[in-house]
Amino acid sequence: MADITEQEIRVFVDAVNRYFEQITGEKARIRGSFLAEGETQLPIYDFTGLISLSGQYRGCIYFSATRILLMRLLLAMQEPRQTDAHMLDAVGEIANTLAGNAREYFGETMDISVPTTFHGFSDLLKSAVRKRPYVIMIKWKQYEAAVIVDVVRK
Amino acid sequence: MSWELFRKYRWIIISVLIFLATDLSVLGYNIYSSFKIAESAVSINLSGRQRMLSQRTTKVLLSLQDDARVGVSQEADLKELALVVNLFDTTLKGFRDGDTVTGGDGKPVFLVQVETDEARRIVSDAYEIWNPYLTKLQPLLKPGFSDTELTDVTTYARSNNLKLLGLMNDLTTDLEKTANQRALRLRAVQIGGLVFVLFNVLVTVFISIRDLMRGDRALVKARKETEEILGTVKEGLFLLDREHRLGSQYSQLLPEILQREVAPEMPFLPILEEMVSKEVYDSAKDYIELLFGERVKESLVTALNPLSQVEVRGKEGASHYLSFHFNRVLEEGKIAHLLVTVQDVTDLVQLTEQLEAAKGQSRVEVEVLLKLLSTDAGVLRQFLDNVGNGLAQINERLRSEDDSELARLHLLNHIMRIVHGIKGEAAALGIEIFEDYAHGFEKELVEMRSKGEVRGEDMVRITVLLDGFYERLASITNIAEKMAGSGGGDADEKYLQTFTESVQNLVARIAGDAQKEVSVVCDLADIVHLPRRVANELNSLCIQLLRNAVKHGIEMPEERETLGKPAVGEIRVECREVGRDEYEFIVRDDGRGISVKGIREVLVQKGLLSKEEAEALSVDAVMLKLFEPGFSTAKEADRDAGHGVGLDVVAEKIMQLRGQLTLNSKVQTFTEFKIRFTY
Amino acid sequence: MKLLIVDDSSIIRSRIARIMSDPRLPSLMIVGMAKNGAEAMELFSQTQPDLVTMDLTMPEMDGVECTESLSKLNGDVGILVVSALSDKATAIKALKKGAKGFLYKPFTDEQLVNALLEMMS
Repeated sequence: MADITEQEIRVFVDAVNRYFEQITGEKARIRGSFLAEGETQLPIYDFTGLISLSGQYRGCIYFSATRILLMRLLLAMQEPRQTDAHMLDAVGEIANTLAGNAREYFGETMDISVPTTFHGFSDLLKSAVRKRPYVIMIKWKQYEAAVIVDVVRK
Repeated sequence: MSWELFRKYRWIIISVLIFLATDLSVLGYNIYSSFKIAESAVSINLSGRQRMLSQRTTKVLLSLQDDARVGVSQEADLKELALVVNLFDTTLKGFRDGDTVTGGDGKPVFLVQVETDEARRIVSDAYEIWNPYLTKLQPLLKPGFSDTELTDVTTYARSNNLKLLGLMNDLTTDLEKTANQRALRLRAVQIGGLVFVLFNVLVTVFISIRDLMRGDRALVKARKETEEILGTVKEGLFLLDREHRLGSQYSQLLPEILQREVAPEMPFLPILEEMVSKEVYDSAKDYIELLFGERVKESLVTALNPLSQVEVRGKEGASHYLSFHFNRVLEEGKIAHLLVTVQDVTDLVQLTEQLEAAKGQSRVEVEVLLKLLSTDAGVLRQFLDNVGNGLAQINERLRSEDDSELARLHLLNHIMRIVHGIKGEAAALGIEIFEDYAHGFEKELVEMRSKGEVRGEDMVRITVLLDGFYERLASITNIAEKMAGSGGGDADEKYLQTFTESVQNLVARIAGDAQKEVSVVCDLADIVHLPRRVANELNSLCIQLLRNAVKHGIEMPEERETLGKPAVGEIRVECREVGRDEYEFIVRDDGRGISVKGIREVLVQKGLLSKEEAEALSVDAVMLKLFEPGFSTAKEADRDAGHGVGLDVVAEKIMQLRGQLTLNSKVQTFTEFKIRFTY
Repeated sequence: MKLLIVDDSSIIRSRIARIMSDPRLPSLMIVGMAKNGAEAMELFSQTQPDLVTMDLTMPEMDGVECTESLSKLNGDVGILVVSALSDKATAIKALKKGAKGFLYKPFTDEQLVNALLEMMS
C-alpha cells in the first residue's frame, strides 16, 4: 500500500479553496490539519458531501461544513432560499468540484462515484480505509468547514 | 470547387478559347472576303463588258452610216444601238453609284460602287466623255434623226472611242488589282491564322507538359515527404475512413505500438476489440461513430474519449498503456476521415506509479532489522511506546482550535521538541530508520519556522510527515512483535503467552499495591485469530478494565469473608470468537458490583451535579457517567487509578474497535464488561 | 436563441442562469428551468427551446432518457450534457441519443460560455 502524498491532498483542498474564491470572490484558507484517530475525531459538521473512489485509489473524500457557512455561501451565490435541500445541494456541488479535480489530477485510472450528500452523521463515514484519515480544517470568512481525505493507493 | 478546377486547367481553357476565337475570326474574314471576291468578279466581268460595249457602240454607229449610204433598213442597228447604249449607261452608273444592272447572262445583278480612288477617277473621266456622247446619241434613239446628227455622233465616237475604251480598260485593270489584293490579303490572313493556331497549340502543349511534370514532381515529393514523416514519427499515425478501415499509409511505428500486425485498409475495430475490455471497446466504438456523425461538436466531446489513456492487452499477454487521439479530417466541409494518433504511455504510467509507490513505501532494510534484533526487546518496546506517545501528542496539538499565527509558532516549536527528542533516542539506539525520518522532519520544521510566518498550508505538510512517521512506527512495531514472537515455537502461542502473562503480572502488581488477593483466569486462545494490531488494542483496553476491577471491584479479603465470599477474588478475562469474524472480549470480576447510589454520591461530591440532579438521573444515565472524562470514584490519585482517566479511555478504545459494550453488574456479586466487535 | 436548463441541483440552475448574463451571449435567453426529466419534457413542449443544458443524474427520468425523448420531439435542438459523471460510457450514450456536446462539472464561467458559443456556431 503506497500512500497518498501531500500534493495529492493539496489537490482536493486547493479545489475547495478555489471554489470559494470563484463563487464568492473570497478564498477559503487552511486553518490547520491533523490525523483523525478514529471516527470520533472526524469533524462532521451539519452538512457533508462525499465522493468515493475506487480503482487505483480507494476510499472517500468529503467536504463537511457548518450550516452558517453554507447559509453565507448561498447568500454569496444570490440564492435566497436556505432550506436543508439547498444546503445539501451546495455541499454536493463542492463534492462535485472535488470529483472533477480528482479526475483531472489522477487521470483515467480512477473511478469516482456520484457525490452523496447528507445531513449530520452517516454510516458511510464509518467505512474508513485509513487508520488515521487526514483532516484539513478550512475557514471561510469566520466559518468552519473541513475536507477529509480517507484514501489509500492500491 | 469550380474555381479550383479552373485554376488547375486555366492554360488549357485559355488556349482553347484563343483557338476558337482565331478560327472564328479567320472563318468570318474568309466568308467576308469570298463575298467581296464574288462582287469583284461581277465588277471585273461588267467592266470588261463596258470595253466591249464601247466598241460595239462605235461599230453600230459606223454600221448605221453604212446602212444610210447603201440604203438598207437601219432598224436592226438602231435596236442594237439602244440596247448597247442603255447597257453601257446603266453599268457605268452602277460603277459610279452601285446599282442593280443587267448581268452578262441577262439576269439582274448588283454592281457595287467602285472602291478605289483610281477607279472613281476613271469612272469620272469616263463620264466626261460619256455624257456629251450620250447627248449626241439621244436623237438617234428616237425615230427620224438627221444625217448630220448621225455624222456628228459618229465623228464624236471616232475621236473619243479609243479614250473611252482605254478608260474601261484601266477600270478593268484596277478592279482586277483590287480583287488580287483582296485574295492575297485573305491568303495572308489564312496563313497568319494557321500559324497563330499552331503556335497556340505549341504553347499549350508546352505549358501542359511543364505543369504535368511539375505536378508529378510535386506529387513524388509530397509522397516522399509523407513517407519520411510516417517513417520517423514516434507516434502511431493513421487515417480511419467511414467504414472504420485503416488508410493506405500509416506510420512505421504503428505495428510496434499496437503490438500487432497492421495492413493497409485493415478494419480497425477488430484490432481494438482484441486489445481492450468489452466496456471500453463499446464506448470507443460509439465514440468513433459520434465523431463521424456530423451532429456532435468535436471540441465538446474530446473529454469523453474512452481511449485517452487505456490499458491494453499486448500480444504476449503483458499489458501496456496506450493513448489514442482522434481528430476529424474534413474534405469539402464533410468529415472524410479521422486522424488517429497513438502513443505508448506505459513508461509514463509506470514511472508515475513507481514514483508514487517509492514515496509512500516504508522501506525496512536488512541492516535496520539487524539493529532491531540486537536491541533489547524491553528497551525497544519502551522506545516504540515513546514514539507512539510523542506522535499522539503532536496530533493532539494539531487538532488545537486556536489558529492564530502565534499559536502556530508555539505549536511548531512544541512539535520540534518532540521530534528532536525522538531523533535523539533513535540515534542512541542506532535505529536509523527513525533517526533519518525524524531528522528530515525536523529540517522541514526549521525551514517553516525560518520563513517567519507559519501558514495553514504548513500544517498539511506536518500532518503528512506525521502520517509517514506513524506508518514507519507501525511497520517497526510489527517487526518487533514478530521478533518477540519468533523467540521459540509458534508465534501465536508465544503471543498468547505474552498476552496472558501481561494480564497476570498487571493484576498481581495492582493487587499487591492494594493489598488485595486476586486470582486471574484467562481464556484467551481465540485472541491469536485477531490481527496483532487489534489484539494490542484489546490489551491496552484490558489493562484499564483490570485496573478498575482490582481497584474498585474486588473487596478487601476481610470484607469478602464477611460477605461469605472466598477471600481471594477472581477476575476472568476471556476472548471468544462467537461468529464469523465476530468476537466477544469479557472482563468480569466477582467484586462489589457497581453501586448506583455510590456513583450518585460521587457526582454530588465532585460538584459535577447537584443532589437533586443526581437523584433525577435514571440508572442507565448514571452508569453512562462512568464513561465520561473526569469521573473517577477512587478516593486518591495513584498510578493505577484516580487520575480521572479511566473508563472514558475504555469508551474511546471501544469506539475505535467499532465495538459494542454491555455492562452487567449486581451489587456485591459481580461486574462484567462485555465488548462485542467484528473484525 | 432560447435556452432550457435541466438540472436537479438548484445551485447549478441558478449558477447557469447567472452566467447567461455574460455579454458574449447576448442572443441567449432562458425560457425555463427543469429539475427532472419529466419537468424538462413539459417545459420543452411549452417553450420550444433551441438549446438545452442537460444534467445526467436526476430523479424520475434520467438525463440520457430525457435527451432521447427531446431529440425525438425536435431533432435540431442543441443539447449540451453537463455532468460530473465519471462514467464516460453514460455520457457517450447521451451523445448517441442526440446530444451535441459535453461539459464536465464543475465548470468555470468561461468554460460554460465557450461551450454554449460552440453549440451555437
